[in-house]
Amino acid sequence: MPLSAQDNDNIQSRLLQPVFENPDSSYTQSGSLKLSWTIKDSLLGSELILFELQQSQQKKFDSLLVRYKGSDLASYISGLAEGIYYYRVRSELDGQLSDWSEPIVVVVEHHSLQLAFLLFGLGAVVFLATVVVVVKGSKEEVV
Amino acid sequence: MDHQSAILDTTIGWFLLGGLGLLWIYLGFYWGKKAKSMDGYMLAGRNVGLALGTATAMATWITSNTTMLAPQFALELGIWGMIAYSTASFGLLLFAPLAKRIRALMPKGYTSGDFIRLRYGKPAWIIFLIISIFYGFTWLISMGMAGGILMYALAGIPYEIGMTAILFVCVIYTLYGGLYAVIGTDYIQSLIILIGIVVVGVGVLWHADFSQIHTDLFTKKPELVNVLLPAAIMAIFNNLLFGVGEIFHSNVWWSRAFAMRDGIGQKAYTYAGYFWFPVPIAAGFIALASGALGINVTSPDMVGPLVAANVLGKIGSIVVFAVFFCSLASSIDSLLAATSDLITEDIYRKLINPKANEKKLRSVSAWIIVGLGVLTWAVCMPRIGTLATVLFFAGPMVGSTIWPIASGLFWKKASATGALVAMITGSAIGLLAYFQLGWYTASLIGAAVSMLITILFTAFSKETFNFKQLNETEIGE
Repeated sequence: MPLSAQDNDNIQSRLLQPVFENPDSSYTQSGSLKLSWTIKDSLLGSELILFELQQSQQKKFDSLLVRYKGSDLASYISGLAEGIYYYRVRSELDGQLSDWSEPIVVVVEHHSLQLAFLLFGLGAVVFLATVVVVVKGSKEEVV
Repeated sequence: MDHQSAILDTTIGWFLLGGLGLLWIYLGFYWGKKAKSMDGYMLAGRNVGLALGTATAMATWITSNTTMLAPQFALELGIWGMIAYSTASFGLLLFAPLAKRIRALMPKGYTSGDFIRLRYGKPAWIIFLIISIFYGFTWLISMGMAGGILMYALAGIPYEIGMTAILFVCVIYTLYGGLYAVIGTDYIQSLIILIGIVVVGVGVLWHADFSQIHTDLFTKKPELVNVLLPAAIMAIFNNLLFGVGEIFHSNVWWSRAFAMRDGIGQKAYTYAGYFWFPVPIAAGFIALASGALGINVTSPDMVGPLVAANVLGKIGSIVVFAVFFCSLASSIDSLLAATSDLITEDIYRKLINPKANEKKLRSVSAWIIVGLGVLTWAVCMPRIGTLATVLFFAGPMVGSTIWPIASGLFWKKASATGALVAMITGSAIGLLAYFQLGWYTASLIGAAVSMLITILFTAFSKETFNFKQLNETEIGE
């Protein structure tokens, strides 16, 4: 039995559906991570396929940000504030939109400020002590 | 590798790669004619003046790490990231008085390894050599990788071919020209880099809409404009101390101190530090504009070249290509020469064949340059991580050398055991921090631990070192 136009559309939509290469759930303390995705091998590298990457803090993507639209297969995300983020990606070929990928979740939990300031203070002490040793020492006679 | 659109036509990319490569090889042969003795080959006749001295220090410090990592710092750590990277200029500024003292204490010295051996003895010397050679090698790898990434990002030249080409060119001209060729090409490369950075900076300022950049950052990357971003706060002194450690210990900088004429080193390193300071801020700023300019970044170390080339268009991307090629070549050649000197002088001449004549040493040095090139190429072939993760792995080790070097140059009571324990413990605890807390803490922890140990051992030391022992010619005479 020949496939209907709707069946063809469904198959095309599934073929083009991107899949994230990242794990289902990721954790970062720096607020940065790389998201990458792939599609069926035969379609890889084609400049004709466009991808749309969306970010939301709601599982259902009620309010969202478009993070990327273009033909690349990855996008580097940085500067995320503390929280839980959901990402999904879909592709487009000749006006045909794929289904959305399975969403992945990214948990951002920055280091504590106490630890940051402790290390900042420690660094300042080491640096100033080094300056003192070099400046004071260089004023003395060579031998 | 992730697909990312190239900016420059691949044919133009090949043409530039070939043209610049042939130019450096020709200049390497031309300047190499001067290198008749071992002092000439390894230390450019110990007669480098202020202009060449400043240019070579600045060009060597403007590496792939400046042009590619500084933008990555801004992309990951925001405004503090840019400033954090600029603090690496303190390494040059603090090394300036050291260069004067090194030249005075060791007028016939060859390497930083010579200093550690004479000052602290064999055990500390072996640990120092392991750290120094490991660091030199990771720096070489990070730049070989950068070469491949750059060629791919700008011109679509495959990573493997771009990386191979830049390593090949640098190995050939360093092999024939020694430090004469390295310093000579550094001078021209530093001019191209400075002119290029001004062109890119003006281009970005011309195209950038500051209110759009501000809105984009607040909407999509809010932490990059947060002055209390914890990772960025941690990174400030970490990067500063990493830079200080790199310069204090590495033979790249010691060989230049030995190569410069009397009275030149301090001025040359000071001027280089001042000239270098604004470069990472300019390079980092363009990364913050990437979102507002609609540029997708697939790998954080690509952000600098991509934004610059996008903003400047096809013609401008030729300038960008030349700048990045020069920044890579000026550092790869220095590292090949300095690491080869270290292995030739400290391992071959001191440990294996003390009676080797100049001809033999020159031949060994040449083979080591080729070997380093081949080894770097082999490790770079599988792209193993971002530039930061590769380079900063050596961070705790170089951080742990700051205090043994500084105290050894200035304190008579700095102890050999203290230096040894400081380098080992600082490296070990710093590496622990690398894995437990993140790369942006490792150098800081390594340096802090090493400082505490050095001070403690010095306080209880009964040794009194005679600095005249550092002048090997006096010992032998």
